[in-house]
Amino acid sequence: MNLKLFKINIKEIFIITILSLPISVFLYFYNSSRISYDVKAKRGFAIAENFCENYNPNRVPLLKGGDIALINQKYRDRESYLKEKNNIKTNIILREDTETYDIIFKGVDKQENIMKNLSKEILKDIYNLELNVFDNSYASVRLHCKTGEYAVFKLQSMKTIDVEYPSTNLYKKSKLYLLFFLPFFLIYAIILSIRYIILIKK
Amino acid sequence: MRNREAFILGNILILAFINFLYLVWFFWANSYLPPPFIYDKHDTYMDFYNTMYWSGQEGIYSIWQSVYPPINFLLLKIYRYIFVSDQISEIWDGFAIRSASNIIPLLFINVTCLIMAVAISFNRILDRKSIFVLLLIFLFSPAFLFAVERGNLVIICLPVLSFFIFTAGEIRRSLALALLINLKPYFFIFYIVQLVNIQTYQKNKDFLFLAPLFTFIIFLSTGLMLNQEFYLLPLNLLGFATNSSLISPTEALSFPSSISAFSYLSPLIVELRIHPVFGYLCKLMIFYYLVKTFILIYKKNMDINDLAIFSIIFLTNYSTSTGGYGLLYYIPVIAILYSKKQWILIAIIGLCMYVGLWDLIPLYQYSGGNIAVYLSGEVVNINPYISFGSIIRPASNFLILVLFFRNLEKRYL
Repeated sequence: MNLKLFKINIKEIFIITILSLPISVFLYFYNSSRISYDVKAKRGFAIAENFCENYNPNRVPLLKGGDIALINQKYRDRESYLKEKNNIKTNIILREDTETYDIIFKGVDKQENIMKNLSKEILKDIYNLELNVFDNSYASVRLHCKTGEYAVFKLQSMKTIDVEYPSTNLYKKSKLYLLFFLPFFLIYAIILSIRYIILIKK
Repeated sequence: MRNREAFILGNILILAFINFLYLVWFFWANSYLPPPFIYDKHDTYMDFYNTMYWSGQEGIYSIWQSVYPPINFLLLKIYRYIFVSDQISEIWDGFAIRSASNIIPLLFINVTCLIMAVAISFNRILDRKSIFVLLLIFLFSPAFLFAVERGNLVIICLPVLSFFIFTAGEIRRSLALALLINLKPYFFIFYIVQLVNIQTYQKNKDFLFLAPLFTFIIFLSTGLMLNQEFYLLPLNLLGFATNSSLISPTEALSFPSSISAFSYLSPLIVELRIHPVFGYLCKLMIFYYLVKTFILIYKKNMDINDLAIFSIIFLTNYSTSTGGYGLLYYIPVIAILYSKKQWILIAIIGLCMYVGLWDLIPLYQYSGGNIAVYLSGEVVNINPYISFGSIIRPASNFLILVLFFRNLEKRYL
């Protein structure tokens, strides 16, 4: 193997840099501005507190996966409008293990305010839907005991979990630098392969 | 087509067709597909749709920890753009995308890939009638139907694999292998096998230099186009290779190609008390013959076709991670063996691996339950079992390894 194949002179370094620089700069600046904006809220429950003193405490979650899918659907229809304007990706997940609603936005740093406002809207929608479900299915459930008539269920409504910095960069600095230099190595590899093929053909 | 060959081929086709008719009848009568199809009937096509879901998400390599190289996701993005983009939202999960999508384009692509693989492999050695009969045998084979039912992307590799094995020219071979490795990283074994065959370095030097270079170029360019953390892929692959708890015993034993799957018999068949050492013994036997073959490859100047056959035997025997649909990689192997007139090996591959009638014989019934079956849209009580096919396929694959090694010994020593 002739090691001259791998050598590049100053002129070639300059050409590789010129070719790779636009890609590198685009990748660096596009990804450095990308953020994830995460909002979490504890899900709401209908809590049974009083069954004539012979009760088993019971917590019934107010919303299920299908209900969240409806809210997702609403924001899906809005997303296509948003996409034209802003290209924010929204994902609303109901996590059974942590009993939370996770609202995740992905976009660029300039869109942080839009994400903040959108998260408030979504949380309001979830809250209203929980209230609706409670009022329709649980509020009117009453039991007669010796001491009188009692409402069985109480509302434990959803609660937003406060996070100091909900917005985080999608890429750390080290990964941004890696993305910056990779196009250089790609162009170098392409030049190497072309050189070798020319050598074979000769 | 000679009379004897026509007779054998015709009989194998009849057996394959009988099995296919049985599958159709069973589905019509019971609303679900029988073994060897996986127990979780709700998961049909989900290898494809789950991956498609993630092709539109952030965190492919950091959150989902995918082991698919970037080109797979780019191909899925193209598929989404052409066939499904108007119908789905990026926030839907894989199941929702499946509900909203039409499966016909995917089925068409699967069949087209199979046709291309068979045509490339056999066009110089068989007449068109024989090729057509072979195509039907592969189409009705449990390996192909299993891969289609799972929605696995392995089928896309088939024409590229055939092209890699049967094309002349080091540049084209290098490009083909680079593409294969970028579709499924385990194809790197082909390169390792050629590297071990040091006696052919001078003959293969162009391939040995260009293949990794082209692999790197395709990986890097597709990774940058995808713009995800694709450099995490090697770590994810290491995690996948060392984590044996990713599949359950029933999944591992539904359609194995390797006898290393027999290590899952012990936790599944509790009545028989199969000692765990049985599983280790199976793995030891595989390693023994693989190492012996590698030593032979190291010492001798080997034919490139023998190296290709061994690479495929290695892939399908080494572990369960390739999946039972890896048996489809024997399509070009059958073509090579045919031209070398290795009838015994062809017979074992054809009768044991491509005829599905062995799955009609239940060996061990395990507890089932009610499952929502995607294909029929019904909730059905499933009675699953491990079939004789799940034993004979990996056993015959191991036999292929042993016989092929013996054959190499005979020819090269």
